Amino acid sequence: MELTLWTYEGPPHVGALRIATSMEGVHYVLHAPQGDTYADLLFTMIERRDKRPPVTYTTFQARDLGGDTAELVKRSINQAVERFQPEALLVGESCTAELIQDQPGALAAGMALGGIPVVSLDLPAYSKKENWGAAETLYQLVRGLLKDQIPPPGTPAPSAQRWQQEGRRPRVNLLGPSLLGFRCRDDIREITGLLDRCGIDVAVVAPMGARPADLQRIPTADANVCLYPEIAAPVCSWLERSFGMATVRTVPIGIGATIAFIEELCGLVGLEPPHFDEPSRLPWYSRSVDSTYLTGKRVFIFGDATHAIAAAKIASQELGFQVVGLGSYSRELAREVRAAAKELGLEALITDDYLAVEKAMAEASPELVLGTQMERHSAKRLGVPCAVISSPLHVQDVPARYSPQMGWEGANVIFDSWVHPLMMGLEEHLIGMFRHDFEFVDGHRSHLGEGAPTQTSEPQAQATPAQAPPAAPTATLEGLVWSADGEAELAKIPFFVRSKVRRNTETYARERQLQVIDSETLYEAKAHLSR
Amino acid sequence: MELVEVGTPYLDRQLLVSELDLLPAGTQISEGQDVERQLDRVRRAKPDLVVCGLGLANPLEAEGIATKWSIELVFSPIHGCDQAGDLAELFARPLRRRSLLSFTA
Repeated sequence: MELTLWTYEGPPHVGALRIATSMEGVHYVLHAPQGDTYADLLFTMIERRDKRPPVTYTTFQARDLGGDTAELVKRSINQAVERFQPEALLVGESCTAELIQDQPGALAAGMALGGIPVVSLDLPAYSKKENWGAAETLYQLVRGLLKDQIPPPGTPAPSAQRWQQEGRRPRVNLLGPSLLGFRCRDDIREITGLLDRCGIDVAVVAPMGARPADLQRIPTADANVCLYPEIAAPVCSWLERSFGMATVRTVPIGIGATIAFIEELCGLVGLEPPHFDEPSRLPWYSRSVDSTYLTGKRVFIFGDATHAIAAAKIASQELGFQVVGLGSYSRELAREVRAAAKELGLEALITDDYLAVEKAMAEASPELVLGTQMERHSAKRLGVPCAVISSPLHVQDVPARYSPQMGWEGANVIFDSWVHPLMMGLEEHLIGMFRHDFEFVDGHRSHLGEGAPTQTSEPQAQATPAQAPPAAPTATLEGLVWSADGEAELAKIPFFVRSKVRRNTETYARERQLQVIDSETLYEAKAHLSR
Repeated sequence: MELVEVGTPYLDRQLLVSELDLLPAGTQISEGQDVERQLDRVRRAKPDLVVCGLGLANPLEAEGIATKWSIELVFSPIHGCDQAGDLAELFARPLRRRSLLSFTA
């Protein structure tokens, strides 16, 4: 374990809480000290939920540790069942409570709770994290609720095309959408509409909006759609093994992926894919002349595996960007991220250290960052435009408007939200042409909102416009000094490559053991590197 | 202002003895509270304002009870006579906003 100021994922009990709060009729008794109740506000603040999450914390204190904390667990379970009358009960412990070994799951199993299904969660807090905890909770809950329905071994798997004999439309389950996931609420609506156009019904959406009784209807569908592998991959695999239910694993984010998704699903259930007449504006917007300026834009991508892999494909194939970095904090899906990176000639960055991500971002010199809310902070520090593509979220990433990522409308949303932070085609040209004009100095880049050039923040100071009096020589950490005319010359270079030129010139100077970098050194370095 | 209840996760009565003396006599004080029971008491008392954490603010607002984030009292300079006006302003702000909003035609 290490201390950090910030983390991509919480401990696994936060994942369990995401499942419980996404559903209806489920209650979670969590053996945890008072301090762990902070998890409530992930839902009440970031998701603006109008209810507390359905969780009862045992909230033991230091002075309780000498007494009977097991009794406290039992009392909390009884009170929660009496007050909330849940249709299913989750029982588990937080990282701190794991150490006192009260075994709340075993305690609950020994209690008379009127026949409510009880699922005991064993989530190793010191080796696993939030998404794993959410996936494990969904899997344990589905397994617990379906254990009486499992067909005996040797039963042939039901055909995904049996709807044809049963005189109904094919139907599928959408598995994985959860609270604190990225745009899940809107993806459900988009995919439900897309499936309806294909002639396919949705049987169960889970966990979001599902009750325990809905989970018991999962086997009535012809197939499962694994929309968010971080949350739903284990439960889909179990439903394949135990019920012979086929899984659609293509995640429909982006035009190509949405087409592949429709083909995979229609092929599975035996339907002819319908013809969609220009369903999304992304392909035309991307071909239109203004988008010429998007060609080869350097993009750095980091997020959960699902969204990072999808973003890399859209960026490289559908928008013509150059992906210069790809990574994820999803260790469970690291193999898939590595494969996607390899296809782009990159090595994937698999880490949960946001400072390592910021470092890789700076080294890659991107012109656009696609990341989580932390990459938005990092990109802001580096002065690079950014769009958020993945959890963890900021309250801003839960918009009031309809804003899916999946399907045709998702592709429209992605085009807008990735392209708008960039300088638009002609605008970039004009800034290049008039860069010595006071109105076009870097401080006036309205789309980045950096404010007036009088600001004295660090990136602003570096971006001193050419007509300002040359500042005193600036020294780097190792004592390398930029002369005033060197800095002035550097300021003439367009801002989006400036940091790279600065770094390359410093490397060149260091290799030659120069003490001072002037304009001549800058041009020597340029000539040397372009050789 | 009439004080209905003061609750805190942890109360060191020795350390805070002089502050506790300043509370009106008979003020209900709760420590390390059971959140559900405390919410029951809030619903019964129907206070005009609840100073609470971010985990409870939106749920209480949704039930029609005005709230003030307690964390603002920690982060804002509210001590002494100079800041008393700002302190009053903190309490007044949510009430003023509620009277301002209207969604009728």
